[in-house]
Amino acid sequence: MDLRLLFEQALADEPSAAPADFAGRAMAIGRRQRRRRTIVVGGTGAAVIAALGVANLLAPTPVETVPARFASLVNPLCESPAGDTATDLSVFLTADVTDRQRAAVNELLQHDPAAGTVRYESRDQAYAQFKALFSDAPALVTGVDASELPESFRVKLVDGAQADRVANKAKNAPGVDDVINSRCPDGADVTAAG
Amino acid sequence: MTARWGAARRQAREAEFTAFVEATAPKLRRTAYLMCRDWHFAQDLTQTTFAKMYASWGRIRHAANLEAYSRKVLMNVLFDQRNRRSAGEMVLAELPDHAQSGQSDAVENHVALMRALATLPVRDQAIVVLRHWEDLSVETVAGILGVSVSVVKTQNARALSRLRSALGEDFART
Repeated sequence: MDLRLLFEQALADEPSAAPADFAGRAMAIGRRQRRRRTIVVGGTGAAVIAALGVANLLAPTPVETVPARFASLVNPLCESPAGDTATDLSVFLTADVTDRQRAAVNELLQHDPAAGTVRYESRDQAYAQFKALFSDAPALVTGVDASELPESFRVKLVDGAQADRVANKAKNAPGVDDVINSRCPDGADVTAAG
Repeated sequence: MTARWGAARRQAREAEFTAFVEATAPKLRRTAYLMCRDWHFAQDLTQTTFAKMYASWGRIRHAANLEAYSRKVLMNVLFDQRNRRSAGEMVLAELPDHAQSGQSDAVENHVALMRALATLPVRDQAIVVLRHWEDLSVETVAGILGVSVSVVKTQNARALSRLRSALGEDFART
């Protein structure tokens, strides 16, 4: 897997239309802001009244808009067929997790009625998988060693509806760095259809 | 006389800024796109970045690495946008529904990657994009994001490992 190549492919749908006049607009925004400052600073009564009329015209264009079309997070596995081994929850442990904390997290997951299988993945195992996945991109593997990859528990749930509850419970346990919930929302799960 | 000198100086300054923008805009917009996955939003982010840079152009124009500086401004604009939204929600564009059977592997792969990338914390996305798309050094990325070199290294490794985790075993085989 070559990340750079994938990024290039991801950019393939770049609009070919001539890019906007970024420089011209940036300078226009800058000039407008400067002019407004001048008007406010030199504000005699008449100037202020005049400025009130002018200010609306000079108001900076709202460039920092966030398009309303942003949707919530989508799990990639829900969009493409996932393997049988797909993990529902990945519970990543902190770098300085203690033996006792690790055991407690294991206990907590194993005894949860919603958890099916709980598999522990050590740093060495994570590293081995990491190397296998990026075997065609040695540049990615160089500079990463096993100690930098987190330990984790891979959880497969028997009751998917409980995913958020289990994730939250695990997240609050000491020694847990983060929990990634890879469950697909109801109806979006293509693992069976795939 | 001074007025004309001032005008000439301003003209030179604007020409210099325009040249900088023209040289760097396409690449900056692509980086913005990889961070937000929406070309319109990427356009806005790029415009905002340049407007901010023009506002302090007199101070920064002689900076050693203006391109790295522009990435810093871009990322700060992005992080700000994200903070203004509700805390748990991730700023993320709805991706076109590309991943359907019949599409080429290349298209499926990159859509899967972009979706997986979107599940990472926004700073980790920045690290992955700056390191593996822009090919910037660990030190430069650390400077851009205002974190230590070791944080970049660790988070990078973690982010890559999470990409693998999110992409699943299927991805490994392709």
